[in-house]
Amino acid sequence: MGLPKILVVEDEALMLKALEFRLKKDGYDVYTAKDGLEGMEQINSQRFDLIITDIMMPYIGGLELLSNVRNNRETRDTPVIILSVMGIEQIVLQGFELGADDFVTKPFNLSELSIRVRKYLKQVV
Amino acid sequence: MKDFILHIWDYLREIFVVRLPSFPIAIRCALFLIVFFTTAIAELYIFIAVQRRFLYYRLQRDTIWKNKFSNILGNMIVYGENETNEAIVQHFLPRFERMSIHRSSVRRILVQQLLEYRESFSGNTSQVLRDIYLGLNLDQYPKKKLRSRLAKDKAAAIRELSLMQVPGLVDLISAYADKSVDVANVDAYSALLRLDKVNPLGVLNTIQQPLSDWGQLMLFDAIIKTPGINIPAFSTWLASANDSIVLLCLKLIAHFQQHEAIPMLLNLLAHQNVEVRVWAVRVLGKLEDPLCEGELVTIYPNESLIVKSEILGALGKIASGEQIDFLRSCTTAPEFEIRNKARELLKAQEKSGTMLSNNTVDSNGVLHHALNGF
Amino acid sequence: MSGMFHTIGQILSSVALYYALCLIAVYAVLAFFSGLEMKRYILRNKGVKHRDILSSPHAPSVSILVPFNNQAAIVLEKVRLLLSLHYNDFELIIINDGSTDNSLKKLINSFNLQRADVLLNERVATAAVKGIYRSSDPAFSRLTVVDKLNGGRCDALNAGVNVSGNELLLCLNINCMLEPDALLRMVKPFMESRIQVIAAGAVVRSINASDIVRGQAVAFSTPRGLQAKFQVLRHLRSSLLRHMALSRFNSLLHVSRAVAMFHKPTLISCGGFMPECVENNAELVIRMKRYMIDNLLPHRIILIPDKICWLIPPGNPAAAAVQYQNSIRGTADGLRSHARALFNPTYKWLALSSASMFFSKLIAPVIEFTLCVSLLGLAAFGYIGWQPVLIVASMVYLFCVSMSLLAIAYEELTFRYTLNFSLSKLFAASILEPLFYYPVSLMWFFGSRKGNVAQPAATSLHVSMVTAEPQVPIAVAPVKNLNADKFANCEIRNLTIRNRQVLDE
Repeated sequence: MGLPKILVVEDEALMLKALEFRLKKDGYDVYTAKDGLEGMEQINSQRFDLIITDIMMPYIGGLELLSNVRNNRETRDTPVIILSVMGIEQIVLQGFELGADDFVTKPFNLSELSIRVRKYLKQVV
Repeated sequence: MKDFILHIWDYLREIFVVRLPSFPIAIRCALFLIVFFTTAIAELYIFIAVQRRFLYYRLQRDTIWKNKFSNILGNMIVYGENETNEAIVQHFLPRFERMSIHRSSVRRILVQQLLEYRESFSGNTSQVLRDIYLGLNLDQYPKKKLRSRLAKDKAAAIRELSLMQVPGLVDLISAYADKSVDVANVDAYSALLRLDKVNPLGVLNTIQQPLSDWGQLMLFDAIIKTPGINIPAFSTWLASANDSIVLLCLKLIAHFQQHEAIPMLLNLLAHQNVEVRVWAVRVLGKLEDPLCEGELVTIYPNESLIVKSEILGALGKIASGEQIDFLRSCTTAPEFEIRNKARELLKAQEKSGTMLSNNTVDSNGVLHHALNGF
Repeated sequence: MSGMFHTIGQILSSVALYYALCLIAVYAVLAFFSGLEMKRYILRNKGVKHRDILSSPHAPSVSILVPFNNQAAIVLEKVRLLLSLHYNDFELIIINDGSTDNSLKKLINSFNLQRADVLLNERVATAAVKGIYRSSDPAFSRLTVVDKLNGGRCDALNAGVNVSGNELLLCLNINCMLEPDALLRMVKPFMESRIQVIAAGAVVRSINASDIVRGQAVAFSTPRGLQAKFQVLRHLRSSLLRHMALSRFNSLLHVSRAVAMFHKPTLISCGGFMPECVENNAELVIRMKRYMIDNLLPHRIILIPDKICWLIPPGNPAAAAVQYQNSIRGTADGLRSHARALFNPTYKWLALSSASMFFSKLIAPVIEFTLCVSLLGLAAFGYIGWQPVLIVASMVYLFCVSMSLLAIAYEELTFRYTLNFSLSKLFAASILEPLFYYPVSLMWFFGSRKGNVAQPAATSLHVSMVTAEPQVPIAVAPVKNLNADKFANCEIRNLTIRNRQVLDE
């Protein structure tokens, strides 16, 4: 079995790069998508062990992506971590209702994120 | 062809030179405008073309630098878990120094990326970003900008410095802060408030002009997002003559759940400004203290529609179950908003079990019935 | 006899000259102030992090109203795009204005919509609402779909007003493509101003269909086709060189139909959208302004020059003609129903601005046409020399071209999306535009006068129907062209209102 596969969906290029570098360094196989639609395409074409997604993205937002992931028999159990901006309680509530596993609000600690990622991947493996 | 051009040339020369003095003033004016517009067209065309070249070149160059910096920063962020910050900075500082950051265009890109990361990450990463910033002496440029005449530049400089938590800034800013700065430009104030840890909200005392909603939002944002600020009791400002400050403090009281402010809030229910009354009621609702329900019901009959509906909202939030009869009486109120809201609240309370009786107003399917037969 | 023609020729040519000089002076002043206003906007928004509003719980909530009729092909994609706008608190209300295709079914299936029982607050009268749908999937919790009988675009918007629960309404044309942070930019002026903003329009930009991928602008290429280029130039000139200045002096009467934000309480208290509103909302804006002035309320109407909304310009002349004629007709109707405001000095600025709108849209083409034709005729028969005619014509022509270039320059200096447009093609278009587009638009102008037939019988019925609902103030403007279909709807509507009242009691 190869490295655990992680999909990062984020529309801010700078942020995406940082996350990609960090997770690669932690020893995962990292795939990136610049928006929700690209993310959906990747999710449909292969299986991921973890999905990290932003909320606010053009065309398909994080919540819809999450809802799609949960409604698909194959990906139903994939853990999803949501990145969001601080202060939007309503979205956090909606996200949990839709079955998000975790929320990380900006600004966040990268080490903390990688610990969370490790936790979820341990569950999967 | 050549003859034709020569002919036209002669014609123009005749009009513009030979016969010009004999024309009436209006025609002369028109002739002048013709020349003016022709040159304007040529100039605009050249201007746009040159501007484009320049922008195009700049965009290309910026993309290259952006890539370079984001790669280094990305590497820096993931560099050595166990290294100390000093070691990381030691390792990366020379790389940045090699870039031509003395050029303002390049520097701007780097600073922008540093700020963006600094806003997104906390903890160690953020510390390293700050060390790099200070190590490269990037703080000297915004410090110079503090002397700028433009409030906008000043605000941007203060924002940058405060985000990077440059030491000794309070004195610097108070030396250069413009006392007459427009309050609409609240950026500067919010940054000031980010810095002064001893009396962070002193600024609220000094604001005289009414703050716009936007200004309130910026200040609110700054206050709740600044880590390590010591939060005072906002009820101190509820007696302020500046209604916008009162509003801001009401929002803050709700956010920090300052229950000790309730007596002051009850006083505000008699405020002459409707907006303040609305917010006072809303905040009372958010504090969810059952004791103020009675007060709200007492003032209800004499209030305007908008406050009435807010009172209902607050009662719904508090939901002690004491006011069911009152809510039920509201379902027959003449105003649609009140009826609707009261019904919704009754329904919600019914669901959550606080409601005892069974004969609530049936609001189900009103639209449905109304359209039967279509 | 010929002496008389000579005198007339002399007089006409000097009239034409002075007329042209005056217009040029006015336009130059407007262009100057527009530039100042654009600069002010840019400075004010430089370095503002629009995402700050996004994360704040105190940013105002917005309802987006999108009416549509038989647009099954695009409606799903549009809803998706609008749902993914960057904003904290908004609701999206899609109004199916009696579509006969399967668009509603498509919506229901793809968003898991279910019929919701909602108490409707009929603040403004509309054709009967058949049902309100909400999604059972929390990911689409912002979406509400209103299904109603056909009543026209304004009627559909009114139904949306009744359903909406927020103070700010964004009325959107379904063909528009919004920038992801459009809402933030639209809301900011409402929050910034200490005077109540009652309406805000945005400068609508043109884009090629091929540059849109997944509902987002990926590139900006030169508008294809001469007609589209003319349209772009004309639009940039009017909004960037004129409307911005009017917005600065708070005398803007032109709020684009494609994208406009309204303050709901004001909108309701002056009676909502009128069933015959067309292209530029002129009637509504004048009505709102009159209401505010009558009640001595300070107010502002603004134009946001930012990149907010994209629209594919009509490529063929027929579509452009319809658009132009609608705009003229909208202005004419709006001004006609407020004729008293137009000549009432108590309205000061409003009177002045509506008078100038009246002049520039409805009178100026007639004057210009008459002057052109008569001068050309007189010159052809030799009563006046060609020289003064040529001088005036070339002055006006050069002025038009330089204004087009100035508008492009403004755009390049500020929002920069025209960067990849071919400059030479734009230049060629601006050289050709006064020669071709102008005469054609004159033709359209005279064409548009035919479609204007008032029907007083329908008017009285409508007014009495509106007054039947006690909360709605009496309509200010008479309504035209109510056809038989709408008569039927009115009766249905009356019935439902009555039914609803019975149920309420």
